[in-house]
Formats: sequence, C-alpha cells, structure tokens
Amino acid sequence: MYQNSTVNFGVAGLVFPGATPTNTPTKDSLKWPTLSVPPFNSCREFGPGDISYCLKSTVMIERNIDLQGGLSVGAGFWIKTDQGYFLVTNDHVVEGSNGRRSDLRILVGDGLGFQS
Amino acid sequence: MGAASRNDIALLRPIDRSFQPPVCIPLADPWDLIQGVPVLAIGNPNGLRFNAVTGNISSPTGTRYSIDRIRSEGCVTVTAPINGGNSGGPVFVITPGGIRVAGVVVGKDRYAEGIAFVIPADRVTYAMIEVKST
Repeated sequence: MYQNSTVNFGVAGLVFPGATPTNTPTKDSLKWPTLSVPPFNSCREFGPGDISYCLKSTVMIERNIDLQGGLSVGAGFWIKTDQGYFLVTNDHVVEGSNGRRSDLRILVGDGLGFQS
Repeated sequence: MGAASRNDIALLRPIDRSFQPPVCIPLADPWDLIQGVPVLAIGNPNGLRFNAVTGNISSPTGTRYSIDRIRSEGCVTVTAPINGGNSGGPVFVITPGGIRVAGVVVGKDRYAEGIAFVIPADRVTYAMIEVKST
C-alpha cells in the first residue's frame, strides 16, 4: 500500500504548509564532526618492488613423501636473531608421516638451494 | 632444528653457520596486524614456485585452526587466496616502519573461500623461546 510521505506540521488539525519544527536539520547542522585519525601510512598496497624484496626472504621446501618420488611442497622464510639465522616454516611441512623431520630440499628465493 | 608443535611452527638452522640469506625481513608487532590492512602472501601453491598473492587482514582476533592433524591456536585470518604449498610461507604487511612479516600461513578453510589462517608473528618469537628451553 502506498502511503503519502509528505509531512505537514500543524496543531490540532490546523495545517501550516511550509512550517518547520525547530529541530529540523539545517545545512550547517548536517556537517559531520571532524574525527582525529592519526596518519596511517601502512594502508598502501604492495608494489612490484615490494614483492621482489619479499621474495628474497622466502624459500620453497620439498620433502619426499614416498619411494616413488612424490613430493610435499611448502614454504618458509628467513629470520635473523641474536642466535643467528633461522628458517621458519610449519611443523607439518617438515614432519614426515614417520615423524622424521629430515630429507628436506630447500630452494631459496634467489635460486640457491640446499638439502638437509 | 626445533619444532613447537603446539603452534605448528618449525625452526630450522643452517648447519653451515657462514650461510647468509639474501634478505631477512623483521617480524611485525601484534599492533601492526590491523583489520583491513593489505597483506602479501608468498608460497608455492600446488608446487608452483614463488607465487605472490595479496589480500587483507579480515580478522586480527585469535581463531583456532584445526583440520586433520594440523592445529594452531590464536590465528589471524586473511583474505589472500591460499592453497596447499603456501603452508609455512610468510605473510607480509607494510607498517610505518617498513615491510614486516605478519605471520606464517598455516592453512585455509576447507569449506569456504577467502578465509586463510595465519599464525601471527609473535607466536614465532614464543616458539623460539619454547625451542630454546627444550
């Protein structure tokens, strides 16, 4: 059902066309309050230069999963600590079904590879 | 090599101590993981080498990830498309201090798209302490 949305303001059935209540928003009162937002520079997207930089810290990890040469593939990345360099990855990437964490082949992002 | 199985994090150390990786990117602080900020995930999805995908942090609130035998507590979720082969790979975020590692990819939701689970970087620090003390 259509209802006429025109609102007239009046008292006891007396209509005063064009009259406005005192709390009607005006152009000035509709201004949004100014929010104080600290500068946040980190919202930019990653560019090609960022990606090539990040690639250098990333590795590919391969682990043999069967005698037929099947491979499980994962990833990892390097971190530097006061104890030296560490490669971080998931335990489920390096742990074989036999519980051994070995026989890994690691390909570093710049093409260098080594095996454990 | 050490493994913090509770968080599904493994730490490997090169036997050759003279080895130096080309780039090491610092770990992000917990307050760098803000809902909506862009992230970059690099991994080897389905064996495709070094694929980079982007997304956003969809929730910085800790969520439990548990599929099959893989379990991790306190994960952050991101919208970047993640597949098998991304596991263990880094998720990067741009902070006011520069690019940082936001966390480690642990997996994705099996029945939904665009929900990938990331172990936040501070868990890596905890894992280092855990591994060192064992």
